[in-house]
Amino acid sequence: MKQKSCKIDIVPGIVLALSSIFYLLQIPKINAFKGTGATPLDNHFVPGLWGGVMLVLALFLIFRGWRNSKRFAKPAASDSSAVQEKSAAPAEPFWKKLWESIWDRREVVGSFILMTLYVALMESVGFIITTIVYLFLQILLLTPVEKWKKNIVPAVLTSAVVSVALFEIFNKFLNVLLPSGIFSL
Amino acid sequence: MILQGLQIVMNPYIILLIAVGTVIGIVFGAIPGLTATMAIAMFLPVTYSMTSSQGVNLLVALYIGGISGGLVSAILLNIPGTPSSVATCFDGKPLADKGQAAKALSTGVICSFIGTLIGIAMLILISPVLCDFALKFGSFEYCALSVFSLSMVIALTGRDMPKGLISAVLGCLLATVGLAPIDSRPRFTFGNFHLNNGLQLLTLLIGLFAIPEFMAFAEKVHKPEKVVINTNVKMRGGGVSAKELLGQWFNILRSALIGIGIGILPGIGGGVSCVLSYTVAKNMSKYPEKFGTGIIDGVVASETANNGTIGGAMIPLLSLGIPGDAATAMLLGGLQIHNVVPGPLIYQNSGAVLYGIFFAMVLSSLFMMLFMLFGMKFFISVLRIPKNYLLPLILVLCCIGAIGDNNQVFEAYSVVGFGLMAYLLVKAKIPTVPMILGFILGPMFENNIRKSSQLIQTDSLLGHPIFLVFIAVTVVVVILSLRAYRKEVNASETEAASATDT
Repeated sequence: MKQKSCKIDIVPGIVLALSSIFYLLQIPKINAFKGTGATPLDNHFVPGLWGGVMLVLALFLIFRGWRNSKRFAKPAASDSSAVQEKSAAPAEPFWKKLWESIWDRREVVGSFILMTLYVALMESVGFIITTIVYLFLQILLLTPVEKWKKNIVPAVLTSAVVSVALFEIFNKFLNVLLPSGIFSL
Repeated sequence: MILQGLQIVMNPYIILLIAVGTVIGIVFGAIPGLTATMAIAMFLPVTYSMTSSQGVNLLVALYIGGISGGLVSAILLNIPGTPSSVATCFDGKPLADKGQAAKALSTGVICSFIGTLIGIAMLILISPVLCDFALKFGSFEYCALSVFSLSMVIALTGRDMPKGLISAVLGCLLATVGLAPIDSRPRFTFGNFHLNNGLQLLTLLIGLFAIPEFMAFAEKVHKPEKVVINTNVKMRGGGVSAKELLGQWFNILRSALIGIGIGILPGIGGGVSCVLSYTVAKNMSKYPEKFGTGIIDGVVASETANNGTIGGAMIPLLSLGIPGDAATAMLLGGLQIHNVVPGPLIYQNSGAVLYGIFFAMVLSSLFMMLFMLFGMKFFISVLRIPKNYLLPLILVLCCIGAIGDNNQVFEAYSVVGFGLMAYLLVKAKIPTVPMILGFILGPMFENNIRKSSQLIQTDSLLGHPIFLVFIAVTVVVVILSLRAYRKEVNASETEAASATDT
């Protein structure tokens, strides 16, 4: 458990540290204004400040995680037999663990993929068709597999009715321009 | 202006909007996993074609309904409908288990109403004074105010201060994308013209608050929880007597004031205020041992405080443009869409709309009480709405809201991107509310520190007492928070060491 809590410091710490380094490297590329009305603190100052603070915080997070992992890695005397038993068992390969973790969250991964495809195709294909397909697939994805059979017809009906209704309501009555896509031809 | 505000609200169409907004807000509050923030996000696109008074009043009604509705599932399911009702579960559910669900529900509803009214009264009293005070602010003062607000955020973001800080700084970083203030030079746009206007508050809010809730449900699809809903609740007569409620007057007043106080502080909201006021009520009670066993004192404390937070959170939102919590941040986005600019000049520039908001809040809280007292069966039945149908629909509406903000599909990409970021942050146990405050306060800080850097050559800092007070308070807050954090770290290290020894 404690090992896990160390990981949620180290992994985000590394990601944030790398992101802040990337961010800081972009700062010299900003075109600073030097004409009349320029301020003593130019447009590099605040990004540099926040980027620097983020880097320090990210490094602190990594350090905290590393320190805790070392502390909790030392096994207590009473745990030694359990640890020996564990070390005797073959370690699970990293890729297998990663795959298990993704498979455990298959609905989350699937939802993000569906959402990305929905948004990416909306402009070219059009709001109505992409929304019908997205809603149908998303409803099924959020329904336990054993209940799919019972939910297919209601999901199709809901997706179709809701998509057409939303398009009509927002485009015609509420002045929100939604992409027509292939229907604009 | 007060009469104009009243006239605005007395329009039958606006009354209807407030009534509908309140009901939908309660539904969102009642269903666990849906929040007031989500309700506002979902209904933003509907308000695009409305006038500012119509749109803003609908959003305010959704906010009030959304915070109040959480008590239904907290009492009947032991699952808080919104984070604001966490403490309502402590005594609400045991009361329901004793067969007194109606008593718990009506106590919660009436206290929510009273808490909202006290909050609105304080909002009406404090907000103009704060606006007058803020009119004296120049760039030095605004710069110090933004630093002070950020320091409050880090002090109050919970147990892990470094992660609260990371979140706030991440918000500040995101706010630097786009044209720089003062000299309008593009930064971090990577040549994408969509980014010239910067990232939008609305898309960030939708991504941060709608998508993680959606994903939290998605995570449970293949391990669903069985929930039994008690629908046999008769609200007629309410089960709570006037005498019982009058006996709680001090608890009500104290909890409302706690709620308002917490609401005013940036970065925290009803979730903290209800737990804090519950704890205070328990500690100050003559019978603390009865708390948690099913007494109305706990329900009174929690529900009065979380609704008091509404008025409290609106004070800095309207007077300074600084939201108190996620829902008011969403409301800030809504106000900006309708050209109501929160800040010290709001009374001068949008006085009628503002007074309209006050009247709408009173009307909405009245509707909330009536609808919940007489239509509780309906709100209980909405707990049965299948979320596998509801959540995708909400997500589509959130995308429409984002697209409608600028009429660009690019905004929907931002929602998905921010959603992914928010999901990963939640997994890393990094809070997301400070990010919103960083996103709002970062540009305020940058704009004013750069202006101040020009002025400092001719204007002494000693001539700005408000600036000096803010800086002094910020230093005190930071020192106290660091000490508290240090103590907490030491305590957890000792605990861990003793656990290892045993």
